[in-house]
Amino acid sequence: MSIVKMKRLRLIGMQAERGALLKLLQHMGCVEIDEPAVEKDDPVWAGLTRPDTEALGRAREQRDRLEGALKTLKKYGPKQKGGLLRPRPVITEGELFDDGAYDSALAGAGRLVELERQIAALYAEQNKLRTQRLSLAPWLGLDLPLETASTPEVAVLFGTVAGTADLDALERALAEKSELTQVLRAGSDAQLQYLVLICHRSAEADCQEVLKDFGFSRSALRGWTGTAAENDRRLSQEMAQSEQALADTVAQVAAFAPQRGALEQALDRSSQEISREEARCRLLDSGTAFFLDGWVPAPEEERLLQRLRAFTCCWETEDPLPEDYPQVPVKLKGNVLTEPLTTITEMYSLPAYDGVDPNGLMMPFYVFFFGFMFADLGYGLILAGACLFIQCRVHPKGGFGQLIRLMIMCGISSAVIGFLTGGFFSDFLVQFTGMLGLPQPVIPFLSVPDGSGVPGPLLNVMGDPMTVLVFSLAVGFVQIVVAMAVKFWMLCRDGQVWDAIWDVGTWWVIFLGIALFALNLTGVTSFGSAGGVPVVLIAGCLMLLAQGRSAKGFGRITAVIGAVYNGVTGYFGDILSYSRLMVMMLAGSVIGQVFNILAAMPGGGLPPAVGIPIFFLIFLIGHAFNIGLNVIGTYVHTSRLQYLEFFKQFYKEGGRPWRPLNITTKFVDIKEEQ
Amino acid sequence: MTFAEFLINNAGPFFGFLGAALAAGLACVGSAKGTGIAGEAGAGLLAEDPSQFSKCMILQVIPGTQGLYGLVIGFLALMKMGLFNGTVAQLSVDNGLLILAACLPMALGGLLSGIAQGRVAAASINIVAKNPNDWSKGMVLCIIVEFYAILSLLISFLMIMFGF
Repeated sequence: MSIVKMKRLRLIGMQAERGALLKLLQHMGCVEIDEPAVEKDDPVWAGLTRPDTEALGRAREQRDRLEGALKTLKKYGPKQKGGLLRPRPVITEGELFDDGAYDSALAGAGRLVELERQIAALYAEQNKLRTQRLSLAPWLGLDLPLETASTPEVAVLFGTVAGTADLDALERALAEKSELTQVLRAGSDAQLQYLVLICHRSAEADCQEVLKDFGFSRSALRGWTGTAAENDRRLSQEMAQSEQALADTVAQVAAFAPQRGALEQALDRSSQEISREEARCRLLDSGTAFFLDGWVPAPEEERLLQRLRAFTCCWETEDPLPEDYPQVPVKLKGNVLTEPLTTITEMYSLPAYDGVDPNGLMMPFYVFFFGFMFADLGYGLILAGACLFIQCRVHPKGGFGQLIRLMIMCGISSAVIGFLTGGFFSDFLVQFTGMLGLPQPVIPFLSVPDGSGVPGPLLNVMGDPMTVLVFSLAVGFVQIVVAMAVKFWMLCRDGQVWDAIWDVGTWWVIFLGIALFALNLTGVTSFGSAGGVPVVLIAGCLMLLAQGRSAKGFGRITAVIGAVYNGVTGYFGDILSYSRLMVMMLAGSVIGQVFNILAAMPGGGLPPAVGIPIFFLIFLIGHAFNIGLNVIGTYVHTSRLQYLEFFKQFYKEGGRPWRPLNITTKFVDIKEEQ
Repeated sequence: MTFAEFLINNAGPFFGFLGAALAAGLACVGSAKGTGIAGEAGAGLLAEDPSQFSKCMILQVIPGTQGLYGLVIGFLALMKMGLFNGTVAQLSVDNGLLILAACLPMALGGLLSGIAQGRVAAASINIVAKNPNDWSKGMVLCIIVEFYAILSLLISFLMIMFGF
């Protein structure tokens, strides 16, 4: 539980060995390769070049192809069972980097991408066919070939008039103009009526006028041969063929389902290629050598240098200077108990390189606060059990894995605190036995009927919320004092002992004075005489005057007033904020209790065979809801207490996470090899 | 029986029921509005990207808790009034008014925090649209509003349980 010391690594090696060296670094996973700081004025530096990015581009193209293939498989292939709870296969590093498997997966991916393209083309074709059939539909009633053209003697006009137009009137009007006309009605749809006019050329001009009056507009039916019905039959045949082809292609995609694992493994492999190529592109090249600039954790340095001896290269490592600290990557070193807290820290911000790793300091408070707010034996066991199941089955990695492991601890803590404060699905035991008319069971802390003589719950939030509130504030006060102690230590570490005494020590003296004053006032203790106690307070107040030590003139007075105001409102506001511990505990219990009462109510007058199933139905729905709600709420409020109240006192944030060149897989786990 | 006679005969239960009705009713209105606002935003995103359904649904459900809190307070008020053991008719006017007053924080807090939380949830759905991996931060923002509904629940609870 500390921030790992980093060393700057500078290395010059031969280009011929670069591939092998980078593979070694990736295997060891202990070097972050940085952009070298180039001194542009120096002609030697300016003469260095960047490696080409061709291989990087190729690796990215391969990743895109594999991702596309997996997407196609997900879309058209059979559904995958297990979802998030599917365990990942465990393979060796050699299997991951096996070129044969990689090439065959890439070939398969290429085929899948091709099939996806075919499917898209088939869908486009079907759309086209559908549109064509729609455009033909109104002409289906016509037995005239659609390509029928005008001749020198006879004009043939295909066209439409509005749906409301009177076709009989149109025919009459045409007949009045000339006998050499004929109107063929083809069909109609919601807006238009479709028709063909055949007339002798001598009558064409007159007909055109009549048609104009009726709003006739010509339709373009170029490209069709044969009647509409013939065309429609042909289109529906083509449609059927296309459907068949689509089904065949989808079946071919589905046939790739057994290769999903191989594709995922190849995708993981391509990610490794990309990260190695990206690292390579950050190097600087001369004619035959290359220069690498990076960071290595001090504890790993020896192991790395041992392995580097096999290469023709020279290197140096050095501790970063304080002015370089903002650039130094931050890696937190944790143990099994503190490591899960990293997800909480990262959500806020990593500590600066010269800051403090908060995980170990935060861990006992985090787990206790969560348990205190969630406080229920049943809920805690369910939470811990579910998270333990996920942990054992899939070994989740990264932030999610840390969260799961944190929730195991929080669940256990909730169960313990729940037991001591008498919560088992809120007051399930009381309500359930009450419904059945049985005597309440006697369990110490958890279920204590009147006069049973066993110890009752240590804190009873429903019956005595005031005590719980005071307890919450006291716990909060402890956390704030711990945070101040960390601040005190940090200032001393940096050689600012007087600042530590004036800025932090002052408040401790004042807190002590207030505590003694309060204890005397309530007669709990007579530690120190009643007259002597305020002396402590006055000493603290005098120390407050030191707050203005760095300001000058009138500024001193405002600095002191500012420090007093900020201190009083800040510390007291912070401590009051811990009242949420009691609030969340109470809210969870009250809602749970209401569900228990609701569940017991219908069964009160019914025989147990009917009442018990009804009870458990309402019980299950209600408590599932309450657990979901409370887990989210408790998680947020516990985190908030760390961020706003705890970190505020001492935390120096802004660290840059350490991102070494390593093997990071998403779909497979790598077996540790010696 | 005129309205005045009714009120004279049943003033205690009347004010008690009014309190329970306000706590449950207004808090449910707040939740309905909140989940409604978030649901509209979620449906807009789902039209583009149906795979985000679960995240949108969780964000939509969050403003739904005020209704539940309102129900809890309403229920506790009815229990305190003796509705379930048949003594509600004997509730005094004083105690009826106390119940009414005790229910008000939950009624107002539930109504307004539900709507406010719905707006945060709707805005958080934008996070799901742009950065699905960061959606939990949107959830955190929503839960900050939730706290004030819980405080309303708490103070109403204390007044009902320890008021008389």
